[in-house]
Amino acid sequence: MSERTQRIGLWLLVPALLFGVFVGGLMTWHHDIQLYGSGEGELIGCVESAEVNCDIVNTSEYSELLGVPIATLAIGFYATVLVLVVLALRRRAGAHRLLLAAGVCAVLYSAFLFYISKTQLGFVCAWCIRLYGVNAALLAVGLIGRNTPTPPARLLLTIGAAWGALTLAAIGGERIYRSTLSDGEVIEVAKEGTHHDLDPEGDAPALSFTVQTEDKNEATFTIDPSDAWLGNPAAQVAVVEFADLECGYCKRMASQMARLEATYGDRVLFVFKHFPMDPTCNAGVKNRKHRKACMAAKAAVCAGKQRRFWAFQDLAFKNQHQLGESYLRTYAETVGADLEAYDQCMASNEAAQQVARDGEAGKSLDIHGTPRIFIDGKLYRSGSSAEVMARAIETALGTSPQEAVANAQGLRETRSVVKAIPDDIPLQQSISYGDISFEIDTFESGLNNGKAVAGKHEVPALRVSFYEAQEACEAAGKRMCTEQEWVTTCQGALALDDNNNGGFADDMIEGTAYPYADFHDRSRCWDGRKDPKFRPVYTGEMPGCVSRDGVYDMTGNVEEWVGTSPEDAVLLGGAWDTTKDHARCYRRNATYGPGYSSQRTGFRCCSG
Amino acid sequence: MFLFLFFSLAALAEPEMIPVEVFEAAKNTDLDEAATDVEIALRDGGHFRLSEHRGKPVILTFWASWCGPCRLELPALSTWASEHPDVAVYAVSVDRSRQAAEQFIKRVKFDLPVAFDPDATHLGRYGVLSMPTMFLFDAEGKLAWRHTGYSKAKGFTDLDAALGELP
Repeated sequence: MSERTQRIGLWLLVPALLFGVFVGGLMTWHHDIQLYGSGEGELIGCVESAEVNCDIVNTSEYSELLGVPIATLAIGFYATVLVLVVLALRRRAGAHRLLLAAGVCAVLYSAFLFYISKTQLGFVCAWCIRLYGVNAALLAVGLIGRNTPTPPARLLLTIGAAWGALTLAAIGGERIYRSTLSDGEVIEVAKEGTHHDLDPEGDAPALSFTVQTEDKNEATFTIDPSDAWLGNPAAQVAVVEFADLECGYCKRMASQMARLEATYGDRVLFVFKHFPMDPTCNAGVKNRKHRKACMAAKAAVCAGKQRRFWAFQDLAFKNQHQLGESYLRTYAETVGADLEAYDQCMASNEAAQQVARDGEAGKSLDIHGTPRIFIDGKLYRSGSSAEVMARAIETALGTSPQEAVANAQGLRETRSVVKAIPDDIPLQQSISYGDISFEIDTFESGLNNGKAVAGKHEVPALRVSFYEAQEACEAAGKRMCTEQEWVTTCQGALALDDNNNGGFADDMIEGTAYPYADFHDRSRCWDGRKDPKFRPVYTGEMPGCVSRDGVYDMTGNVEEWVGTSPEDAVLLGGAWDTTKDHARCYRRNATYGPGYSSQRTGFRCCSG
Repeated sequence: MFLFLFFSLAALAEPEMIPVEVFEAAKNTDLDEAATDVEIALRDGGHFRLSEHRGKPVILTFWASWCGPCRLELPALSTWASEHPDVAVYAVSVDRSRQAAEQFIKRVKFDLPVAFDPDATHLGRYGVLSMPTMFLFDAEGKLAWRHTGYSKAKGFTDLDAALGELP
């Protein structure tokens, strides 16, 4: 190619890359305002259709990479490529060749994102498609200069440094913007969270409707009378979920569904269908992905025979890591099922037949995975938020599009917003669940001359044995927390000794696995910091690491001694360097005796 | 641009960690001081006191019944001790349950005097984070060497080297 062609290509790339930076910014704004802000931001230039939905794609779990919106990373990328184009225009040797490498990477990544959008989310986003165009142009211009010299190491270093700096700047800007969205938001957390009592009485209404299947075929779907249902049986709008109790995405979806049920339960019918990812009980799947899913589905059906399906489903999702036969039986017992009838049901073919029927129904709708939700015949998948599905419900209910958006935004999960810790926060919180009530320190305790000190921005006590912790609490007029009190506070629900072994942090999860949610979020608590450069933080440095009742740092930072006597002394919650699977409300460290201490052992006090 | 970068990096700053010196102080144990008054109950009665072993090197190795490498280390150390009669070797169990420790002793054959630290008080004072951890004190009761873990392939070559360097 002539040099003239190369230069024209480079000049044409300049506006394309500026457009890329703009789109990155626009999508970052949309992503943040949808996920972390008021949710009022409407993305221009992205008209929703059967194929296109920017809200779903740009707020899905694939829209972030290590907690950073990929749109933000795009800003750094396009800005760096712009630098490269300028260098190429100034005839810097190797710059044009580097554009080719950037183009290849960008196009490959575009293909990956497009594949994810189509297969996992079921929608594409119009702005993403436009960026794919920019990437294709980048590749094309790169190809024009494929015979130019290879880039010297110095250029690679310069561009690498520019990429790092520009990406950091973009991430920094995004964080600043996100922090402005979080300020002043109120955390309103429903104390009991998702909780179901007895299932409604009677069979599910035999509602029929037309559905567009996952493979875009048209089918008629009829609700089976034996299906688990909730909401209004006379409703004309139905939300039908196909799920697998062993599927992680279904567990995540359960919290979204619970919010929809709470809001639309009076106007909409909610139906649950089993779709275990195991061909031994489900003709709709080919490969065995979940070994316990069939048994769990059967157990849920049997709990449902006693009007306890929804409560059982809650418990099974919470304890998804333990779905063995005996655990399932314990969950049935916990939700109040009669075990004799449950055992009979499990031994009969009845439950298996119902699971098989559900599988056939899923197969007829071309379902390829879980969860799959049909709202008014339209399919939604794992990346769909409650807000997005609420809009579909509102539309099906006949609400005007403007009202539908406004009403759907009212569903925003306020707990996802992290609020700064006020300086005048009470240093103890009153906790009351079931038949226990007590006071617990809001923060981990500091230590001053052997006396426990409660406060924000204290150095948490380190290298404390159980005995020293006990003395320090008593010197402050308080006492050690019992294991039940500590776990109850951490999980935001009354902790029970389900396996009758005297421990509360080693059995069934009644509340949340982490103080803030069922799922780990690295930005919330000071945990998982394995690198030796990390140390514990001052108390109150992690505003997102908060329990339902406003107690901070229950997990991570320092392990906390808990127990009222040396015999039952245990360390709970993990420390700053503990992995996410261990720094949970449910992780009982009773390895060493009460005299043990290390730089990881601290405590907090209770009273009352 | 620089200003923007500065603010960007500030926004990315991690939460404030406690001062290094506070953390390092919590990590370090004053072993010499701890060693002078250490007194651990022995399985066969009486107490182990480091001060009673002046004049010869002493090895304390901490073990637990749930510790896999300890099953290999203790029999090997037992053999090593029989070849080094001039060194006093003690195996300190940190099991909370005496029963678990006794079952381990019955199952894993080793001929070393056993002491019990069920409260893990000594374990904490010695700053042990994982098992097995071994301490070598010189003839004057000063800590000369510490080591965590056991490798069958390596055996006690590091211990031999540390012993060779003692005054």
